[in-house]
Amino acid sequence: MTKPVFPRQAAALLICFLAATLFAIAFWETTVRAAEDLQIWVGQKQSKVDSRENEGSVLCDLRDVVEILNLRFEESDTQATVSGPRGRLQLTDNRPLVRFRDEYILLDRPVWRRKEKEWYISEDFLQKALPLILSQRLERQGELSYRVFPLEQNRVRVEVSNFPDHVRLTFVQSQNAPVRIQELQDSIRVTFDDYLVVPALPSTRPDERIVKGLRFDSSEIYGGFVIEKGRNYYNLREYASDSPDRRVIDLYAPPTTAQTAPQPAGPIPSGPIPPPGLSSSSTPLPVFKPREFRNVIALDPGHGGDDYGVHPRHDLLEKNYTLSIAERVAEHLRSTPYRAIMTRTLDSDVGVHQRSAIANYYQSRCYISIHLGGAPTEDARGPVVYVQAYGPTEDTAQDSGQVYGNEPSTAGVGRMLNPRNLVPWEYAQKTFTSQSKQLGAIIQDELNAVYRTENQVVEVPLGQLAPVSAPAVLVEAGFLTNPEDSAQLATKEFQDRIAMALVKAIQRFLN
Amino acid sequence: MRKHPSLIIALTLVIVTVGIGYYLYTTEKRRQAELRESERQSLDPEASALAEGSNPSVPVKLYLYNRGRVDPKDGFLIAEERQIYETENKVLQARQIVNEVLKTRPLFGEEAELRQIYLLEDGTAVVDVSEQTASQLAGGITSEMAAILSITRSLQANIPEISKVRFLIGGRQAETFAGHVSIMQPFM
Repeated sequence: MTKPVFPRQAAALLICFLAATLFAIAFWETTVRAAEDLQIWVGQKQSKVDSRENEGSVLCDLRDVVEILNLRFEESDTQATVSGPRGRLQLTDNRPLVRFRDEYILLDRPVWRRKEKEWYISEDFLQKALPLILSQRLERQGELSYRVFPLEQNRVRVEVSNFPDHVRLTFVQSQNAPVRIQELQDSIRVTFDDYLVVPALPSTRPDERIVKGLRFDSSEIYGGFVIEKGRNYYNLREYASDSPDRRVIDLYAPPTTAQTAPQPAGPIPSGPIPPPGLSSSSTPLPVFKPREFRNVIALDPGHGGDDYGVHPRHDLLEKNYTLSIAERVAEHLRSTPYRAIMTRTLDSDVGVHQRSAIANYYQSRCYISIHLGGAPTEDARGPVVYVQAYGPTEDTAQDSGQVYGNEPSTAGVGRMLNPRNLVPWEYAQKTFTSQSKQLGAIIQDELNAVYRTENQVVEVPLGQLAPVSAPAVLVEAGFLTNPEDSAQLATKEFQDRIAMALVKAIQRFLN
Repeated sequence: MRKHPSLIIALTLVIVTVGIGYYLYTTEKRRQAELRESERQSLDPEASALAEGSNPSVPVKLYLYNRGRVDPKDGFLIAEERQIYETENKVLQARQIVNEVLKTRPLFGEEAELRQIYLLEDGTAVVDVSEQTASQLAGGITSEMAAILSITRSLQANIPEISKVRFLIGGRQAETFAGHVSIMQPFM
C-alpha cells in the first residue's frame, strides 16, 4: 500500500509558495514602494497623505491634504488653488513659489504635477504656507506627523474713555495675539490672529460725534471689531502696551484753534521715565490729554533678553553694554533741561516696533538707539553712526549710484507726509531725514573725538529707524569684535566718556 | 540519496518566486531611478548640469568684504576672481556665484547655505538663504551689510539680467537680515 504522498507534500508546496509570495510582497512594500506616508491627526482620527520620496525629500499629495483639512481645491493647466477659511494659496507647477495675497513663500522643492493629474508638494508647505489659510492650528508632532488643534479663545475686553477732543478705545486681550488695524473709508477694522475672539463690549458709549458705533464682527476668521467713524472723525493714533497686552486707539476730532496752542507740559518727573505701562486694573484711565513732553530724549539700549547682540565671547554681550551706556546717558541728562525715556530698563527683549512706538508716543525730541558693532574681522573699529537710508526709485537708481534701500515708488507719499495726516508706519522717518543726518554728524564728531578715529556717518535701511517720528540715529559705539575697542568698553570710565559725548551731542543738536 | 521530486518542485517554485520577485524589484528600482533622474532634470536642471562636471570653467568676479571697512560707500568690497562652471542657464550661474560668496570666511559661518535662487522676469533675483546664514554672522550692521552687498554686487557684476536682489530667510520674507538691516525692499 503506497503512502498518500500528494496531500502532505502538496500542502508543503503550497505553504512554501505562499511564504515566498508573502515575503516578496513584504519586501516590495518596504523597499520598493516610495516614502513613508505623512500622517495628519484630526482629533482622534489619523489620516495618511500619500507621499513620495524625491531627492531625499518627501513630497505629499496635495489633494489628500486638502481632503483631510476640509479645504477647497481648484486647478487649471499649470496652476492649483487651495482655498481655506482665511484665504487662498496659489501654486504653479514646477515652481517653488506659493502665492498668498501679495506675498510669496518659497518652498524647499518646486511643486510637482505628476502625470498631469496629481499634485505633490514638499512637506514644508504644511509649515510655511498652509497655516496662513487655516482657521485651526497645524502643529508638527514629529517626523512626517502633524496634528490639528482647535483654536484657543482670546477674551478681548473693550474699554471706552471719552475726552473733549478724542475717544480712546482700549482693547485688552487675554492672549498675546497679533493685532491688525485697518482703516477703511467709513470704518476701522481691528482684527486678531491665532485665537478665537470672545468679545466683551463696553457699557460706556463712545462719543458718537467721533465714533458712531462699535460692534463685534464674527465674519472675520477669528473675529474682530468694527469702529464706525462719526461725522467728526479726523484721524487716529494707535499704540501698544505690553503686560497685560493692550492695544490703544485714540480717535480724534479735527483740532480747533484753542487746541493748536501749545499745551503746558505739566510736572516733569525726575529721572528716566519708564516705558508706558498701563495699569492692569479694570478702572478707566483718568482724563488727560496726550502727553507732550517737550524735552524728552528717547534712548534705546539695543537688544536684550534672549537677543544678546554681538557676543564674540560669553562674557562680552552687547546687550549688557548698551544698557549700561544708556543708563549713564540718562543719568547725565538729569543735569540738562532734557529728560530720558528708555525703551527698556531691564534685561528684556523689546520688539523693534515697540521701541519705535515708545519714542513716538512721547513725541521725543530725538531718538538714539545705542548698539555696539561687530564685523567679520577684528580690524574694524571705532564708533559708527547710522541714519535711515531711503534709496532711489527705480527711475533714478542708475543715476544715484546707491545700492540699497530702493522703494518701488514714492509718488503720492509726499502729500501723505503732513503731520496732521496719517503717515504709513514705514515712512515716518522720511520727514526727519535731514535732521537725522545733522544729529548723526554731531554724534559721530563727538564720538570720533573720544576714539580718535575719523569714521563717517553711514546711511543704511534699518528696520528700527524707519517708523520713528523724530530725528533718529543708531549708534554703534565701538566694535566688540575689535580687541582694542572691547578692552576700552569694558571699563566704566570709558562707558562714561561715551555717555558724556552723547549728551554733549544731544545738547549741540537741540540748542 | 533518494530523490524527492516534490521537494525539488517546491524548491524550484520558491526559487522561481524569489527570482521573479527580485526581477520585479530591480525593474522597479531602475524605473524609479529613471523617473527620479527625469524629475530632477525637469525640476532642477541646474543640479544635473553641475553634476556632470564636464563643463569648462569660466572666471567670475566676486565682490567680497574688504577687511576693516565700515562704510559701504568707501571701498567696502574688494573684487576677487573665482571660477565657476560655464553654462547658459542664468539660474545656474547665479547659484554658483552665490555659493562661492557663501564660502567666504569668516564673513559667513560653516552652515551658511543657499536654499534656492529664483529669477523673476523683471530682473529681480530672489535669493533664499538658510536661517543659519543670517544667525552665524558676526553680528552688527557691518556684518549684515557685508553679507547683503557681497551677494548683491557679485550677482549684478556677472549676470546683466539681474538688476536687483531680494532676500528671503528660510523661505520667508523677513523684516531684517539678521536683526538690523531691513530687507523688505530689494537691493539694487
